[in-house]
Amino acid sequence: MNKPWVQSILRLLIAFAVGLIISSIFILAVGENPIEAYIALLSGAFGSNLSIFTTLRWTVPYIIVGVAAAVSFKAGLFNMGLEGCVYAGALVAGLLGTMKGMSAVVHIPLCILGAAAVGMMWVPAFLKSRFGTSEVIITWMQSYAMVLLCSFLVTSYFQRPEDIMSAAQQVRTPFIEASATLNPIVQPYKLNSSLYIAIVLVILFYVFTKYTKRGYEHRMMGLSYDFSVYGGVNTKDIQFWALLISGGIAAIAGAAETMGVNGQYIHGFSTSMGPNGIMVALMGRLNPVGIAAASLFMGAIQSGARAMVRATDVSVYTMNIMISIIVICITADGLYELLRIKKRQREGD
Amino acid sequence: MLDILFSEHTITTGICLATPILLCALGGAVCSKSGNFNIAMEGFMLIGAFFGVVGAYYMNSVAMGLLFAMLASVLIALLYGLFLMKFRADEIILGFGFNMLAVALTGWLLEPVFGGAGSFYNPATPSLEKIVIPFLEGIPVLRCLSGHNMIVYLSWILVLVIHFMMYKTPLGFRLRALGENPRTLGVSGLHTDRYRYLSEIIVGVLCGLAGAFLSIGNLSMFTENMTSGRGYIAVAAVGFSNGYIPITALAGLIFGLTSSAAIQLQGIGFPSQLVDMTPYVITIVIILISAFNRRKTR
Repeated sequence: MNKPWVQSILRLLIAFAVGLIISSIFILAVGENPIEAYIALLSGAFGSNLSIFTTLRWTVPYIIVGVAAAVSFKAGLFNMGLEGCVYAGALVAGLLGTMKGMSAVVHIPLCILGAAAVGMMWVPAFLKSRFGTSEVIITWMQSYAMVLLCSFLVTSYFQRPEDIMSAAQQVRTPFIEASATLNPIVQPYKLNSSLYIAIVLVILFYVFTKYTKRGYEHRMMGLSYDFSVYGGVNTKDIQFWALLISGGIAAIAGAAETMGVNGQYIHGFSTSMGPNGIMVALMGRLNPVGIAAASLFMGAIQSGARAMVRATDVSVYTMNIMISIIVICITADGLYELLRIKKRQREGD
Repeated sequence: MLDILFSEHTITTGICLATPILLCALGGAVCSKSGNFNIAMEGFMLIGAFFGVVGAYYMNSVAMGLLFAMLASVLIALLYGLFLMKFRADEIILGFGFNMLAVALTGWLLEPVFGGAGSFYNPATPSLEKIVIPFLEGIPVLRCLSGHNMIVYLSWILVLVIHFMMYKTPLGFRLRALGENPRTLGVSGLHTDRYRYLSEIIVGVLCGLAGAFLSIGNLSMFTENMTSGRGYIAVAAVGFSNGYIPITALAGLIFGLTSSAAIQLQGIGFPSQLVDMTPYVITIVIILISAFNRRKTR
């Protein structure tokens, strides 16, 4: 009962239960049956081949951004600017992807690494490690600026030539070459080989935190900054690299969207992947397996919500309410203790 | 170009744009000084904006709109406080969650309350009246200070009032002591949590006002996520002033004026995305400068 992982799962279950109960109230408020709505959601997410692949297709970017968020959270740093990195990565991949005459073996890594290099949080990482500036605000502001900058760059310099003459309103770049495309795993569906990137990242994250000295220091800094300073950890170095890598991984998610799904950079492609990635990391309690599971959950909501809205009168916002309640409850240790204390009292009777 | 940038019109617009940021930042400064780095102001403000319109529309009175806005915002701030203190959630993650919740909740409520998704606008809904200060009207630059609605003037008064409260009254000393070292309050026989909740009430009232300014300040309308990051800019203002209210207020004003100048630039053919970027870039630049300065003085 007192094992850490049991407690961890119990806390998670409590947060999910509170989220489910509250969203059920909102579903009841519009005169629908919550259970029917959830069934509609599930069948929309897993009911057919198409829906399963759509769910998995959304799971992949969430896993990648979730790992990105977890890398910084694990070190006790709040990188809130993942959305900007996702956009920057997508744009860089979209631009590098248009280069002609390269073999896929060179082209795909080039796009992904290029995206990661640009998406890295250079400014916040430098400021945090050098001056101790709070990373929360600066990553956040940088993210907003980056999204707008991407839109500006595309409209002014990289707009798809065919669109300039026509009345197309979409902000997008030309299509990428076949050599830069991440091919679908099963043909008609959009799930593509970025799934393997996601799996590799999850495994790397697991090995890093569990089996490397650096990962141990990284983790300790997140648990207790003072302890890690006392233990002689080079905290500035870890802060710098944690923010950098976090941004870089988030950019890979954007690159994967461009190279695997859209085939070009389309402004507004991200379904707030940055914030959702943060939620995935929190719901997974920064654990690699947890992140994968939470991503599947978010992917299911992403693909199932539309089916639910079609089948019932429940609005999409209900799901957002549920997710935000889960996030609110997830670090609230007091909620968990509240239940435990009551139980202990009952045992004492 | 310069005459466009420094015109009276720019200043007037700047004051309007600064007001919600100023109010939120003021609340954030109180929280920051009492030991809570609050990033949920965006959410409080959005809730305030929504219920401001609800009050104004259904009660057909601006006063009720203001009251609704503040009440709703205070309630959500107290809920935030409950999770922060009673359930000991992480303040950053909590703030993140509350901002999400506010967007989802107001989006959800739009349909049942106003019968349409996305946005609400009804010209019959009352909004705040502009107050003209007669003796300022004749003076060239100072006339920019006149002709705003009541919340603008209130925000200036509140800056003084809250600064006075924080630095000259026992209440302010206690709130600041809470931020420095909560145990001192306990040792003095005072309830720590009561003062924490009080700081949440203050931030709730201020964010409610800011929200009301957005929704019923000019036109009475509400659009989904209409606060669009103003709360985050307020967080930035708090962050780099370290909660010292005169600097916080100045920062709010600077954000307003630069955004307004950027809008003027857009009028003469400056790309709109770069214009929208200005508040964020300025925040980063200001944080950069203050980081370098702090290093120099050290």
